[in-house]
Amino acid sequence: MQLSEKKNGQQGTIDPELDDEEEEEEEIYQDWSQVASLVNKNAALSLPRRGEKDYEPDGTDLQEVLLYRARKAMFDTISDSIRGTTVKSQVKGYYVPHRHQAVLPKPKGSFMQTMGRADNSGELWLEFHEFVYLAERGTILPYYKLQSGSKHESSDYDVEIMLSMEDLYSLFSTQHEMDEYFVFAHLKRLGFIPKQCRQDMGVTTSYYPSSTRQNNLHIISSRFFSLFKIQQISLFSGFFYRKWNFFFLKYRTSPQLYQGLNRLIRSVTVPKTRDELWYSRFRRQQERGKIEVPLTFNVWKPCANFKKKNPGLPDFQIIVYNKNDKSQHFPTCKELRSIFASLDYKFEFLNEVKDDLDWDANSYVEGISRSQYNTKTASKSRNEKNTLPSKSLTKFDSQKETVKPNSKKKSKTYPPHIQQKRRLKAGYRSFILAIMDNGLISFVKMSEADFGSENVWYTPSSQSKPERKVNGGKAIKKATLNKT
Amino acid sequence: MSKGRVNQKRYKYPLPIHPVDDLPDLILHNPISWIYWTYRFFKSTNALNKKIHVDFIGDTTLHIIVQDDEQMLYLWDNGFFGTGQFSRSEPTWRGRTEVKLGLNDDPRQIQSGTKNDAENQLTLEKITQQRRQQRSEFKKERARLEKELLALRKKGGQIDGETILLEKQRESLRKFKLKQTEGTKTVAQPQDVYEFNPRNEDNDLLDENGELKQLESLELMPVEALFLTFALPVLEISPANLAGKLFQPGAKYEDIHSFVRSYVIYHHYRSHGWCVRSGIKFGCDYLLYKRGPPFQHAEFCVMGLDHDASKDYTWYSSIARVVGGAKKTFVLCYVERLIPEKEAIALWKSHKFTKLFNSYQVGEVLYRRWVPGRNRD
Repeated sequence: MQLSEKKNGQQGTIDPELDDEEEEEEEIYQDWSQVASLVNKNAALSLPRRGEKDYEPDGTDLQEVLLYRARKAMFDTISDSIRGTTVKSQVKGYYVPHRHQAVLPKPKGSFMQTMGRADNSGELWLEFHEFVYLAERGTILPYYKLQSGSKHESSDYDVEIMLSMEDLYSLFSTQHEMDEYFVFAHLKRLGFIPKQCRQDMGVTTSYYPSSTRQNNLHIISSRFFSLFKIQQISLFSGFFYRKWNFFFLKYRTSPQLYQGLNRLIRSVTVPKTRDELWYSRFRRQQERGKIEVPLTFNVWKPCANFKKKNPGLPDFQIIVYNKNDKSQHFPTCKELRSIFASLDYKFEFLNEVKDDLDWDANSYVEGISRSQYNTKTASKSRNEKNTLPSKSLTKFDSQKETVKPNSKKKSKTYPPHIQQKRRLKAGYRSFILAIMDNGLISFVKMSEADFGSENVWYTPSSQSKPERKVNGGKAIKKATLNKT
Repeated sequence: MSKGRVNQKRYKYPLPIHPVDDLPDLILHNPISWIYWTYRFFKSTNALNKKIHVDFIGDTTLHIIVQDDEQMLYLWDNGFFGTGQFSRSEPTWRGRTEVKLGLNDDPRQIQSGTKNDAENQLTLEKITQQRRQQRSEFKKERARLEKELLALRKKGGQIDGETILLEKQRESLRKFKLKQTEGTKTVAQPQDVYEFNPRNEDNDLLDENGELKQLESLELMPVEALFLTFALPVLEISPANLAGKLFQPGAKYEDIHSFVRSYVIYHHYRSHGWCVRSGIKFGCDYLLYKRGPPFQHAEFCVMGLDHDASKDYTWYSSIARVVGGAKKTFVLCYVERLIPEKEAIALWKSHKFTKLFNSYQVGEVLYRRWVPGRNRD
C-alpha cells in the first residue's frame, strides 16, 4: 500500500473555490484493502488507509512486509470473488450482420436501464458497441447468427456460433468505430452513461425549441442582431491612433484611454445567454454550406433514475479524434466554432447567470418544454394505472430542490471580480475532445471564451480610494480589501 | 498591508500615458475656481513631456533597448513594459550591485519613494534567493527525519511504532516550516548586511567618482515597442520608422505575418486591461496578469494561432501540461485576417497601421485537460 499509493491526503476534500484549479492530482487510486475487507469477511486486514510514499527500496524487512500486504490485498480481492455467470441467468446475444447490431431474444439484467432498445416482440436490440461492451464484461454471451437461418423463419436461431472476444473485435467495421468503442467502454466503466449521438433515442430533448417556433424566435431575437456584428471601426477610434490625438482630446481617467485602445482589434463575441443561444442556433439554420463535425457521444453523469427513452439533455458532448489517423486532424478554429454551434446539452455556464435554472423547464421535447412533456406522459401512464414514472419524476424533482439552494446561495455571494474570473476561466459552450493514441485516451475540454467582452483594467483614483472596474461598467469599491 | 499600499502608489497608473487627474476641485458657486479649472484643464495634457528614447542594437537580431535610468523605471512602473537585461524582469541590477558593493545601503527600489520599509528593501532576486535557501534547509531537515525512520526500520520496528514516529515527524516538519516563514519577516534586514570582499573586477564597475556605472538597460519586445509608439505616443521613434527597423522595405506578407499576428493579440489583451508579458518561460506566447507581476500571478497563458491552423495533438498537450502544472489556464487565441494578403502588405508599406490591425479578428478557445473521475459528481 505504502509504495503503490501517492500521498494524496488532501484528495478527499476539494475546495469549491479551487475547483477549477484542480488538475495535478487526478486519478484517485483504488484502495484495495478496503475492497478486500469487504470480500474477506474476517476483515483482519486493516492497513493504514494512506501513508507516506517511500522513495526507494531501503532494504528493510518492514518495507517488504508493507509491500507484500498491499499486493496481497489486491490479489485477495480478485481471487475471492466469484467470477463467471450462472447457467440459469445467462443472456445470449446474437450478432445480426446486416444491421451491424445484436439482438437479445430474452433480455434481462440491469444494463437494460441504460442500453438497448426493445422492439414490439420484446426483443432487445443492442448497438454493436454496447454488444461488445456487455460481452467483455461477461454480462451476455455473444453468438453469431447464421444468415441461412433467415430463409426459414422457424430455424432462425438454430445455427449459432459462439464468438470469442477476438472474433468480436474483428467485426468492427472501421478503426474509427473501434476508437469510439474504447472511449465508450472507458466512460461506461467509470459509471457515465454515454450514448451515440446518431443513435435513435425514444424522444430527443433539445435546449432549443423546435423549428415551428423558429419564426417567433426570429422576432424575439432580432434585437440581438447588433450583438453579433463584429465591432466596426468608427471615426473616433481611428482618431485615437493619430499623432495629434492628445492635443485635442483630454482623457481624464485610465478607462477612457483603454476605451480608445479598445476599438482597434475586432473580437468574436460568443452567445452567453438563452436568447443569444437561441439566436445563434437560428442563424446557424439559415446558413448553408457550413462545415460539419459530427458529435460522437452524448454523456450523462451517473444517475439512478436514467430513462433511456427520455433522458433529457446530456451533461457532456464528446467528439472522438484519433491522433494517428492521417485523415483526421485537430479541429481548426472554424471547425471548433461549428462544433460549438452544434452543441445541445446542459449549458453549465447558464447556471452562472441564473442559478436556479430548471433544465426541465428550459429544454424542449417535441416542441413543448420537457417538464410539460413529462407531466403529460406521466398523467397518461397514470391513466394506464402505472404510477411509477411519475413517482420517480417527483422524487427526482424534490431531490433537485433540496440540493440546489445551497449551491445557489454560495454562488450568489461571489463579488463581481471573482465572477468575472470564473467566467474567463470556465468559458461558455464547451465540449469534450477524446483523443485516441494507440489505445491511450486523453480527454480535453474545449470551451469558447470571450476576453473581448471583459475588461479587467484597474482604475486608480486621486483619493486613496481605489476602485476596480469590473464588467465594463460596474465599479466596486475595494477599499476595505486594501486596508486589511 | 503596507507593502500593498506602497505598490498601490508606485504602480498607480496602468499605462505610461497618464490621465489628466490632477485638476483642482470645481466649486460651483465660486467663478474663480471655474477659471482656474479651465486654465488647468487646457494647460494639462495626456502626452509625455519628453518622449522615451530607444536604441537599436544587433545586426542579425534586433534589440530594442532603453538606456536612461529614469525612463527604464518609468516604463516598468507604468504598465510593466520591457525586461531588465541583468534582472528577472524589473531592472534592479544597479540597486542590487550597489548594496552588494556596500556603496549604498538603500537598494535602487527605494528611489521610487518607498523608503523605510524593511520588506521592500529586498529585491525580488533577493527574495528568491532566500526562498531557495529555506527550501534547501527544509529538505535537509526532511532527509534527517527520513533517516530516523530508516533507522527505526532497520532496528526492526513495528508498524505501530512507525505510525507514531511518522505522526511525530510530520508535526515537527510543520513546526519547522512555520518557524521558517516567521523567521523571514524579522530576519530580513540583518541577513541583508553581510561582509563583502571586493574583487578586482568590481572596480571596473565604478566610474571616476566612485559611482556605480549603469550597465543594465531595459529591452523591449518588438510588439511592446510598437504598442508604445503606435497605440500610445510614448517612444520618440514614429511607428513608420520602427516598422522600417523591424522589417526590410521589400518585405513580403509572409515576413510580417507572425509579427502582425503577435501584435494583434498583444494589443487585444492590453486594450482590455491585461498586463501582457512574454510567456516564453511557460512555452507559450504571452502571459496575462491582471494588474501586473507584483500584484498577482499570471492566470492565463496565451498561444496565438492562425484561424485555419491545426497542429499535431502533441503540440497542444505539451503546452497544456506545462501551463496546467503552473496552475494557469491555457488560452488558444485564433487570429483571422479579413482582407487579402496583398491588401495587408500594402497597408503595412503605406504605414496605415490602424486599418491594417483593424482587419484582423481574434477569438479565444480555452483548452483544459478533462478528467472523467472528477466530473462524475
